[in-house]
Amino acid sequence: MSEFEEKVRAAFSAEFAGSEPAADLRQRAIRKAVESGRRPLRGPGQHPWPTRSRWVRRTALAAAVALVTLGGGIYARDAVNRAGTAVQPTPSATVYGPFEAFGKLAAPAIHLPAGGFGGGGGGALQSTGPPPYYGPARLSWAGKFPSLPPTAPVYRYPLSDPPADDAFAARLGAVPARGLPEFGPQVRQYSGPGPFDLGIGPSVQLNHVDTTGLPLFSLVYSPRAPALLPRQPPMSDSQARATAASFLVTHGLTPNWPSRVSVAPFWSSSLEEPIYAVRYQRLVDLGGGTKAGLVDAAGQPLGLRVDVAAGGTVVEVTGLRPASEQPAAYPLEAEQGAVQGALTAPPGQSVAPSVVPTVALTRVQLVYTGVVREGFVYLEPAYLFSGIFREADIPQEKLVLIAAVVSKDIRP
Amino acid sequence: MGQADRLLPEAVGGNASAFDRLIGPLVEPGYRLAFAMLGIREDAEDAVQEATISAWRSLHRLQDESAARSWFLAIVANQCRSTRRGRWWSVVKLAEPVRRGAGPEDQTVERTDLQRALQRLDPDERLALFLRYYMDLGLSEVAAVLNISETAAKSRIHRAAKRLRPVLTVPEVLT
Repeated sequence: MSEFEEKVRAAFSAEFAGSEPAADLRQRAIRKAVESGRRPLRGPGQHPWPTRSRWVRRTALAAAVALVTLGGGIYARDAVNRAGTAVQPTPSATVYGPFEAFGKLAAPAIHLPAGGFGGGGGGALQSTGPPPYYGPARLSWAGKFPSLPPTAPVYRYPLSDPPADDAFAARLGAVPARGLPEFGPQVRQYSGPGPFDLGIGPSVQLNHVDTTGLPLFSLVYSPRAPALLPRQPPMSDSQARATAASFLVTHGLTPNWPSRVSVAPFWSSSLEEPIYAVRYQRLVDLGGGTKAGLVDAAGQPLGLRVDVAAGGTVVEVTGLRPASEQPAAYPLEAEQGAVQGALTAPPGQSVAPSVVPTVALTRVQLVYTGVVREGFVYLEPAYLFSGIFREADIPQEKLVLIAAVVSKDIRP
Repeated sequence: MGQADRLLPEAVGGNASAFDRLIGPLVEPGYRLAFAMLGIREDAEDAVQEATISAWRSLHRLQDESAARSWFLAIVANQCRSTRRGRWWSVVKLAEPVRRGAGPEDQTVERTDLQRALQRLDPDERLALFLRYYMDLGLSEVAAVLNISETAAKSRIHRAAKRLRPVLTVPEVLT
């Protein structure tokens, strides 16, 4: 090392005198990072917020994100009827349509989103629970199986329906467009309504966490729209909820299915203010007080999500493309078969840790998840098992998703 | 595949212990980098904390485990730049005298002058010198952290070193 280098190094070292980091900084930093959770990616290899922020920055803080994920048949019936996209209301608990009408079903699967997790920068939702774990584990069952009805509905709708897409866009007040910077070429693009652009296409093309190819739409605050004022003061959860509800009413997107609403703020580094994700998880009423929530391929709540910027602007809307759903009833696997299936299910993430954790699954819930097969989307019931374990003294939640339909109705 | 080679995929898969083994050793260097850029201990700790969270959430973007140091330090540097851009920080903190740590009692006049000269440097030039001579990063790593080419990194270091000429005799610094 030259004399110059030594002197420069010494000068920098002198700056640190008396300013050593806290002894537990590493421990705190790692723990807080892991406990902060991860927001699943919205597409393989893509980091949702950097992707967004590129054009957000280009337009001088013109946008952020609001996701509205709509299951098929969730729109206000009158509005949908105006658009000509017939939507089946959620069937009652006792009327599920023809028995096993769709033949054998493909099994749903849970998995680590392609490319791992993302949502760094400003995009990660605040997590209220331990981060999910999809990798291998030695499993046991130590929970109580809920009382469930013997059958449940499966919903089916076409994977692609361009006329319905156009009708949906027209109902929203959007017109066909091309070359919109926020959407890929495989996405059907529309301009409008108002300051928004609309894209409809497979989930992976819209950079959504779901990687099964579910058809989605995304209503995004346009990069060509007037810039949003950054650094707006925070709003309360109830204000965000009211803003989201008002937006949905205005655009005829209010869900007509039961839902569980939650608000999760996250930081927008481009707007330098919080964004509030108002999430409506679609629930399927199975009767007897049993409701099953729709989840995405990572086991996270799915239904309707509205992100509201702190200034009160809804800036992006993304969700399942509206469709005409057909229901059919299928028998549900009972406890013994379900537990056996969970304990032997392949992991949703294949990388084997150096130490395979031992996990007692203590909870199971009936959920719904989307499966794409042979030109159709199936919303199928599934059992989501979970159990919390600790790795390096940090709690994580092992998730196992298996088909809830009896195995004879599942394709091998 | 050795155990060390599996840290990255394990950490990407959500293994907290693997993440700690991969990124944990970089937290203190990250803090030092943040302190060099922000000059305030609390802000430096906050910045490295935020950077660690960002690293956890975007770990899948790290292609090569051997590049973890420059990758993480780049996140820290970006976080610090973001902090410096913040309205509150720029209005309030920059108006305050930077609370550098007190030097050793026997520090030489030359070192004091050098410290002052270092603090007067353009932040990017100061950062380049810090990475190269305090953290002992190679040119390629300095370039990666600064998100510039190796040639530009070399040029920036040289330019910064030349600005210290009134204080120090600058020999060939880029060998």
